[in-house]
Amino acid sequence: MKISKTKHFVYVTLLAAMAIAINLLETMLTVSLPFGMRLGLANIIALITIEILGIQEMIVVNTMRVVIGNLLRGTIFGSTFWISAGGVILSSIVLIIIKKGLKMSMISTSMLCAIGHSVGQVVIVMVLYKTAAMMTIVPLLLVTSIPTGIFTGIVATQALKRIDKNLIVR
Amino acid sequence: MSKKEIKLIVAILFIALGIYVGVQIYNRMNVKTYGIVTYKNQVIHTFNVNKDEDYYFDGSYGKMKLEVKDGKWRITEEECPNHICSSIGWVSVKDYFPIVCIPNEVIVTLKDN
Repeated sequence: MKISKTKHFVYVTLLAAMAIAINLLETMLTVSLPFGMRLGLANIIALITIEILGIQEMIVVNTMRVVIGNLLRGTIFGSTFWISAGGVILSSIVLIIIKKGLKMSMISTSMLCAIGHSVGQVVIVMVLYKTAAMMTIVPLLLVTSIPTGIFTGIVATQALKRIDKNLIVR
Repeated sequence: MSKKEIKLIVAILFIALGIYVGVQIYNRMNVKTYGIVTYKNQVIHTFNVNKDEDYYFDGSYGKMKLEVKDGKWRITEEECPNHICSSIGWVSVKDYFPIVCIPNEVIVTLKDN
């Protein structure tokens, strides 16, 4: 079934709105975790978008999430913005590579995506503040990416099961 | 979970362990005695980690305090929205970790010899 251009546009905006809302909610919820670790709930939306709509739409949703999310938090074009942009760019690249070339399960994809997100952020911090010492945090981020990746992967799989397959356009 | 996923988890754990061991070896080989507080890429304080002292400075968001005691240091009493830097707690040369406060644009690291 082919859906109209307008409908397609509405889906992209809806997913972007969900990603932004989840992103903002998560910032409020996970304040007390050490090292600013997060579950990466907004990654669920990226996984769902690439699955039901495609690569281009996923890029749009992820960009909107960073730009509008930071705009709403008032941190646009500050260091926070560049750091989250770095994370999103690397995780999007990982997601595209997996989608295009490698056949991987949702949970593996989600774990690698989470790693891409945290490593991207660390790389930006290393470049912005010229501190190679940030390497110390990488092992910790890799290990925590496993449970968070599994969690977001499971949520994304369950959500996709419940989405009407008629909506899927490729 | 499938076999592939477990293999991926094991691979991630091995890479993490490799980086951890590498960082630890590097830290053991280069024992440092001076730490630096950087604000917007400018060094604003240099401190001896073995000398107990408190340092007060301003970040982009508000005031901060660096407490050095018994070879360990931490950030306290900071004005910051997330309080991530104080949640890291005490850091020492052996248990080294760079303290980064993004809202304040302040980083506390060890100085290269």
